[in-house]
Amino acid sequence: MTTTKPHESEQPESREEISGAADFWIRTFVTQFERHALEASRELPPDASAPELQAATARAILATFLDSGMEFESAMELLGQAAVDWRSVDVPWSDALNQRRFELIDKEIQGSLTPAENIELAGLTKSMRDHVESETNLPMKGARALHRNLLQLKSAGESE
Amino acid sequence: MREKADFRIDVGAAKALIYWKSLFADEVAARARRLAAESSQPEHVTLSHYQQAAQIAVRSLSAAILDGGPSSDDHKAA
Repeated sequence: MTTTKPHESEQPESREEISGAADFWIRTFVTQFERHALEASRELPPDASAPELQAATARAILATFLDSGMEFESAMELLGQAAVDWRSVDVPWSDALNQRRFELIDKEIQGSLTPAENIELAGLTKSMRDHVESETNLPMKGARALHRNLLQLKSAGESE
Repeated sequence: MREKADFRIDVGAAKALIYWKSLFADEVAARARRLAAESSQPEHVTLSHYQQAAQIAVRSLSAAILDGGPSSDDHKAA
């Protein structure tokens, strides 16, 4: 996970248009984020350092996600997955990612997981869950065969 | 990203600016959508629509500013 995602301008699927729904959602999110950032900045000292400003910004982002209806754990998973995506060109689930997840789980059990690793673990867990739940990994072949058999039974019953 | 800032800003002023920005953006988006609806491509909002809408929205914004900023959190977006 040492590679970096290509910049947005290099993305082959980048479009020249956005949907009206996306535009509205983003504008609403940004406005709400600004309100949370303002509230967070009220708690800062007049000479707040850059790390203090960054921490306040992070709290405002999290608060905005929660305002948008997300559960805390889902927001953490989303941020973690974004971090995993950002550091990888493409993130098909792999043995390497699975191995990394096990390493982080071990550290979590030992109580030595850093906050950044905690977010990475949440992201890896979501990526793994998405992979396991994707259609290609579900036993669809058997399910389709069963479906066909049931349809044949139904049509046979109707013709009798 | 930092600039030397040896001045203080009232929270009410900062809130008003957030509100005005949001008000202006919403007004532009809504008016542009209406302009597009009247065009030959009703589902395609262009920069030209935004430019026309923004000129009208500026006047609405001016009136809203004179009326005062947000007095409470009632203006929170959904």
